[in-house]
Amino acid sequence: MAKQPAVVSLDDRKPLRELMAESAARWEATGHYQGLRELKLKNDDPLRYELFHARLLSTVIAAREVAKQISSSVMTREEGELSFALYTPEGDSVVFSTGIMVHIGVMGNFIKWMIANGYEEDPGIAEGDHFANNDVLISAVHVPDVYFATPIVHEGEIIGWASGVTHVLEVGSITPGGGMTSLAVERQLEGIHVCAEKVAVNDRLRRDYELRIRRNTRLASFWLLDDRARITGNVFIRNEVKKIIAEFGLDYYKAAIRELIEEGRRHHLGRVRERLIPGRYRNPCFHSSLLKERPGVLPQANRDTLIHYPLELTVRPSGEIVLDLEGASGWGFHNFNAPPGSIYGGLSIALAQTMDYDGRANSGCVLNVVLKLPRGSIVNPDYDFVSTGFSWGSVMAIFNGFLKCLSRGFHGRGYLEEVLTGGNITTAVEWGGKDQYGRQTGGVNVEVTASASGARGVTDGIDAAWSLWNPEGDQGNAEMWELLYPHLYLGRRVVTDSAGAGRFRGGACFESLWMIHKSEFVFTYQIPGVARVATNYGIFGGYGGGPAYINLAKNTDIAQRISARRDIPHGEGDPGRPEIARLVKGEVLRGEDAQYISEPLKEGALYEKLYLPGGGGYGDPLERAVDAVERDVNLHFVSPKVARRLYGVEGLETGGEWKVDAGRTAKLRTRLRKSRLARAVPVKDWWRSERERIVAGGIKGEAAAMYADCLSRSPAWARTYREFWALPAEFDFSAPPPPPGRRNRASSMVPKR
Amino acid sequence: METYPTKEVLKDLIEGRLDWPRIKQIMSSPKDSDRFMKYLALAQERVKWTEQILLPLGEHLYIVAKNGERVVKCDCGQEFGDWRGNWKLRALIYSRDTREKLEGIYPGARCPDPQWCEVREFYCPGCGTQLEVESVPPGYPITFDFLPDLDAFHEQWLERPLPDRIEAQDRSGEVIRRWVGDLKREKRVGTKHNGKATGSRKSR
Repeated sequence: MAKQPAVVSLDDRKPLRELMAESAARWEATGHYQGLRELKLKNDDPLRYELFHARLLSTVIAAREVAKQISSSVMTREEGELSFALYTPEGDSVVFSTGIMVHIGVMGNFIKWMIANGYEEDPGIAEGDHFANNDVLISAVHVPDVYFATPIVHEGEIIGWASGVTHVLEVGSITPGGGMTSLAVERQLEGIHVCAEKVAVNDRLRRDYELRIRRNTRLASFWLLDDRARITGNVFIRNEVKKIIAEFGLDYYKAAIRELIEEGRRHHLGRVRERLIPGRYRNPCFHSSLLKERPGVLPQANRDTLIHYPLELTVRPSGEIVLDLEGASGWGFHNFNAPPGSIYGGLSIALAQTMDYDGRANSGCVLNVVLKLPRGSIVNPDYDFVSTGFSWGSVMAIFNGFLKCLSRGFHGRGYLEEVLTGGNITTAVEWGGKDQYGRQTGGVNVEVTASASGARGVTDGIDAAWSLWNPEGDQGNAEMWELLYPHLYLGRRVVTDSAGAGRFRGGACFESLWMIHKSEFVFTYQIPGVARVATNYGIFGGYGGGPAYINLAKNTDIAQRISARRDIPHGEGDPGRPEIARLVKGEVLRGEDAQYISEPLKEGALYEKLYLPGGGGYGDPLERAVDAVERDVNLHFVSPKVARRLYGVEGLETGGEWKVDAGRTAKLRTRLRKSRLARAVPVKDWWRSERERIVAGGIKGEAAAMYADCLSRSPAWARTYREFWALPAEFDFSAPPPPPGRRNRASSMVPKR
Repeated sequence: METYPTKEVLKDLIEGRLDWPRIKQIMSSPKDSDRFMKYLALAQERVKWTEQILLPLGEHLYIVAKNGERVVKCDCGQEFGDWRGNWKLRALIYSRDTREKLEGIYPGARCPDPQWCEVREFYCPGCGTQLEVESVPPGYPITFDFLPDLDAFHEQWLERPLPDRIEAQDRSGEVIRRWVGDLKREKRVGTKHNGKATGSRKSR
């Protein structure tokens, strides 16, 4: 194709910092990305423009597939925990691949950070350089997600960036694994931070960087192969972009990548007006950190914390969305702290899944979204050494609630097929010690990439699949995990009664039951799951999923049982009589919470990880189609007991099949409905008694501490709280003081933009 | 020209009668711009009362126009007052705030800790339908899930302005203030007659 004449004059020969400032100024002045009031290239020759976009998009998708083949980590290769994108010279994303898309905007901010901090002068930006980052206080989500950004230089001019992310298996934190351990209560305990470093020159990793990774992590070979995977993906993009420039012309390229972003912005606004309703949406969300008297916890972290995320969305008539977390808990000495970069990531992926999934998904989609994240809170910490190892916990809690808020809009417009209530808040297991090959090592198993989605407005949630952060994630083959870690799978199956009940139920989650083998020395560490609270993700009468936990058995007779070919556990089965307690002898710990830290385990121990909670349900469970309940019972997704109690469905097992009894079901449903009316009270009466309870000091423990913290942090939220309960302005909760070290001052580690 | 999904297909979709491939086809296709009007028409056909539906608010709840006001109404006919007052304040509630009650939903090891979390079920007083569920810590205010800006929606987005403009301002505080007034009155009466305040904890 012949080179086209210039259509937009953008003098990119300027320093990147100047380009970034000009871009911000044009946005401020016009409300259009780069001041583009017109989409000239699109209007003049839409086919060429579409072709250009398709070429870029296919490039980043292909880069991801190529990179997968370089990595040997189960997470990258099988689970698909990687993503690639193309950015403008100023760090705005133009197109991105599938995978862990949550990082796309965050990687862009990493590029912007380097530009703002004078990287053009020192350490310099040149063809063949690769810059790495996993530092959340620069721009990342947590330590194991490592970013590589690669400049694309054309005839001496930086014309863009390729950037890729993979999730590595081990990061050298205080305990072995992916740096998400609950024991990492300060930044310095999270593992290696690579802080916007030039780690490769002329497309080769620096030897000193490799040495640092090798000597400071417990499974370095996988990290370093992932580094090569990212370099490969980025170089692939760089080469393809140059071919595209040769085909379309440099001026066209420069103008078109910017038009695509402005078009992304317009597309997003169009979607908001098409699918939502202006107004105010609220969905408070909660998480729990359990560190009190846990082994290995530092003194300042010795407390349990109920965490509050009072999510409020306002959709303005202009289409602008304001996400406000005023009243959120303060940051803490735990690993749930989620700086603004991680919230930005959650926003990007939540929008990419719900509204901006086609057309021009890129930086333009979030330009008309305003984040209000109170300084000093868990979503905008003001402590330099704050731990962000499991910022995901907070991001997932908030953005599952965000999905539910959007769903009220989708429902109101009649787009029920787009409704998606909140799903699983993921957790995982980190481990370390001696592996089955006799090596000292460690790692993380994140098969929970495929966990459970919330219900839709027209069908059930997805079982054992979907996660907020990687909607097309895979669990990875059990056999591949077995090759890597000394955990043999005795079973991997759907957890009965795990789905949030509803007319359409949430997705059911799964569990894995492992047997420790060929090791005398295995520590396991939980990435903190939802404990003590049910999720607030059911909608229109559906329930949220319940808290997570594990079952554990030590010193068992499993080896003898296998030798004797006797029955062995493969899953939990009936939670009232779990197989692990029924089918093996030994020291059995049942229902330990999902933040449990084990003592060393050895050959023959059993570890059962239930990846609760299931997804939130939609609608009144008594209205669920009886044949759907029958199917669920026969699949063991729902027990007959729950079928009766929550769904009001009576049935009987005959010939190995459970059959609904229509007559008894109708009667039972009528009876259950009547019993609701009999046991309930008017909200006014309930309000009075609850108010008395609050005034009398009946709210205790961690809930009282949460209120005391939030009331003191936010006068606005305190006013709302006191008004609802008609409490005097001086009312407060009696609770222990907040963690030491809380203060309000600007961080010295985050440079001004 | 009739858009897809047609009103009949939309009805099947809403009632959960479409299989996944057909749902997926609808999801993957450009949206029908007249969906809202088809949806409203279906909703209006579904209910037995005649007030005009302005916006569906849930599986069974609607904001309807009634005598120059906009009120929340269940499809059974039960009304919940002004749409700006949080309909939940006029519903029935059953709060699962003990382990025993929570185990009715989350048995055994899956039970939340009632000191950390209670599950509130909101029922329609007219038909007993479970309209919403909240999982929140004890002492948490009832959530006002959604306060739509009806006029901006109808006028600016649908270009079909409603006959009267009513500002979408949260008025749940007025309901609370009325309750406080009632409480004070009852206390005065109670003090006069019994020398002590009244009030009960029926739900616990």
